Amino acid sequence: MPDKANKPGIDKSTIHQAAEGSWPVVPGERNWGLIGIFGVTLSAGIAAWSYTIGGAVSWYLAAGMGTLAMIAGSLVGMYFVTLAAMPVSVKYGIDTIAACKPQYGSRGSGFGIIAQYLSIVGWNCILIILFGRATANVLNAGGIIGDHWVYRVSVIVSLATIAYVYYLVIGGADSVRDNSVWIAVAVSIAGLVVLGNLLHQYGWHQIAAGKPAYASGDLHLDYTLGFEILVATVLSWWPYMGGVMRMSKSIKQALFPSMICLGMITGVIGLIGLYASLATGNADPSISFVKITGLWMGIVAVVFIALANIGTAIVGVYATAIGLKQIPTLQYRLGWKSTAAIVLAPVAIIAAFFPSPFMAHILTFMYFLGLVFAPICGVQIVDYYFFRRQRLDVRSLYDYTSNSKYHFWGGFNPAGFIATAVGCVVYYWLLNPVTYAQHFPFKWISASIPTVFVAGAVYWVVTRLVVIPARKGGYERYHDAAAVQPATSAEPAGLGE
Amino acid sequence: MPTDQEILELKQELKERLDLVNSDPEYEGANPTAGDQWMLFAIGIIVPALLMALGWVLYA
Repeated sequence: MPDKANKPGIDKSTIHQAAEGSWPVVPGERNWGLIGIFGVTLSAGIAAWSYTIGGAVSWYLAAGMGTLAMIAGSLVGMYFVTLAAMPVSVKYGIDTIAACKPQYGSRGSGFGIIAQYLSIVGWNCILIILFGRATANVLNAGGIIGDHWVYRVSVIVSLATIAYVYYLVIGGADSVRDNSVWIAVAVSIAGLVVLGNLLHQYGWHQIAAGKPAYASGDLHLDYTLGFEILVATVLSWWPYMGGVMRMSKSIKQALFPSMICLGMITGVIGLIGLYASLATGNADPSISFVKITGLWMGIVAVVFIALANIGTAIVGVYATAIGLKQIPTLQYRLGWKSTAAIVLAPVAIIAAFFPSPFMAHILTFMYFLGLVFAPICGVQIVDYYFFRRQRLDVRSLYDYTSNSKYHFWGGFNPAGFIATAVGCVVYYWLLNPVTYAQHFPFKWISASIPTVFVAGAVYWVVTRLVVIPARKGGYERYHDAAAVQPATSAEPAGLGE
Repeated sequence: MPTDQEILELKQELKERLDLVNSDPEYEGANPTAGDQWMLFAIGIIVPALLMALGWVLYA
């Protein structure tokens, strides 16, 4: 494969800017081999938020059904994300935000940026706060700090971790890859140690006998709720997908890391949180882990959480920073360090001032992820496969003028926004993220899956009835067909004359 | 913060990159094959459906 970096006119600084920024990455620069992709996705997938997800599932399901619902939900959620976001990123070397411009418009893609930004800020808050709490709890259990210092130490550790993540992220793409490989290896070994300790201390029978704290009494409903938690949370890999997968050389190379290392691993690692919660009766992994392991193994657990969280956080900040650089102002006016700081600043504020209120509403945050990302996936799948037949105009992705095929009306595609809004309403009806109230037929079909289909269907209808007839959006083959149609129909008349 | 001159240079570099993208026959990667799609469907839909059914049969 030719080395594009050596072509005249494309100097090293440009390559560096493109790789770290939002520009399309050409094949010669997609240098994350199979091990690199596995390392990055595995270290991202093995994260302490999985413990929190598992803890949430333990509210509804016991170990047996919880295990199967978590793995199934993680695979289903990842299926929709992979189908929507992975092939386009690998094919064109573009990140997720650039890839959603054909659906939301060159300026409307700001919606994707906001969704990406808020979700990753939320996840990073969970990661950082959990680590801070776990560290403080271990120190407290060891008698190193008193009870009144636990909160303060947890905040200090959280802020120190944010500073370290910032330091790693400003190293750029190479930093993400290089650090992720060793983190993935260490995290995998440490994870097995913690799981082994859990089984040794409690045994499977005690874990399996653990009762879910908030079971409704309707096992079918609880089964679907447990499944939905995983589908919704795994859908939030959508923003991460392009930033990582655009460095992959082929779809075959990216498929298994996406499905297994990002998707299924979330469910598998979450099982530790599920079992720990059922065994100890406490769904907060920063507490249950210390209960399980005791002081010394608790320190091991904290190291594990630190490695896992830092690995995930740097990938998240990296992907979000690339997304933010899709905003023209940020692309040209803000350096990489400042962009990374914008991503981490709200995390620092929440970790410093509102850690407890935030952690008290984790399940609401998780369901909101499904509410937002399920419609986005549905819209993107329908547009990319059914309307555009897997072809995009790359130049238009980076053109914010009315010349862009994705300019639509003032840079916004109403079809994308209407479909997303309808999808959000459907999700909200099926499963209210705030009150957790659910309506028929949630129990039978969950919330995220029908939302994907409804949003996709609405997008299809609005695009066919409004966007294509208005000759917007670069749907040339439909325009061409419309242009040919009158001539074809007129031909017999002409022949008749 | 970049100067106006640097911004112009960046825009020129982006233009060069897009020209490179448009002229490079290797730029566009392959679409997923039918086999890829079936593999994805099997892992993402069929296996989970079987797991959920198994869970219901074993524990419900």
